Amino acid sequence: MNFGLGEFMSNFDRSSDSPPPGDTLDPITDAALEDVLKTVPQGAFALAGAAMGLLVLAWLAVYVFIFLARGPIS
Amino acid sequence: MAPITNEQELQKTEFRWAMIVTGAVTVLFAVIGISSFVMALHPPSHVESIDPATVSQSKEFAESNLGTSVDPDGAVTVRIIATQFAFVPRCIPVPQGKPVTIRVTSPDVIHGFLIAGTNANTMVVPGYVAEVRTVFGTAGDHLMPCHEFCGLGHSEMWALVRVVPQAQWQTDADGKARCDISR
Ligand SMILES: [Cu+2]
Repeated sequence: MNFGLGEFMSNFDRSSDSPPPGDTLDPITDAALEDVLKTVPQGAFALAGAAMGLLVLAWLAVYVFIFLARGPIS
Repeated sequence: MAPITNEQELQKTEFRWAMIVTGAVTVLFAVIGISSFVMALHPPSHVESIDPATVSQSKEFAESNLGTSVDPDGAVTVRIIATQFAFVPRCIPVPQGKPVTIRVTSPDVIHGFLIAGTNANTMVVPGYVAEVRTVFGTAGDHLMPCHEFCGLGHSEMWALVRVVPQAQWQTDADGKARCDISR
């Protein structure tokens, strides 16, 4: 029996340089995409840096102002 | 910063980010390391066994010996039995700003306790004496619930730690301190 699985899988296997039929109207060219991706690390740097900085600060704040402030246990 | 345009620059960026992450992790480990080695902060790790079947006949956990007692040398010890479904005693007075040793054991199942607003938090396992030493800085009532599910009455199992300012701290002739929950 054939449920069209072969066709489904071949769509999965399609490499990115041969866009699926639905994407032929996509106005973004590979070159434009490449161009955009080149500048991404700066934004990623800012976002990841801010997220991690806040996380470390929040951890330190909890550690110092809650855990240590509550007094030592042993 | 100019747009990063070649593979080498991208690798530099990744390396820089790896350094930042390493730095952040180093900071966290340094804080933990300093507090555990320099300030000697570590979780309670007292191991002491006791026969759970004869807890109430033991000298230390006999009913008359439970609660807060102050030794002649000033050391404050609180002895508590955690049982289904109550802490005995229920109201626990402690002096503010003084080291307090809390010793708890269970004759039946696993219980546990935490004292709200403090770092005191441990399990109470039958057969063992759980011991936590701490200093209570804030005067007032602190709720002390059982935090290990111990049966149907678990949610009713709580005590109150009453932190009393030094000026109002009183003990009787035997060095015992008592309090009541008025509600
Ligand atoms: Cu319990």
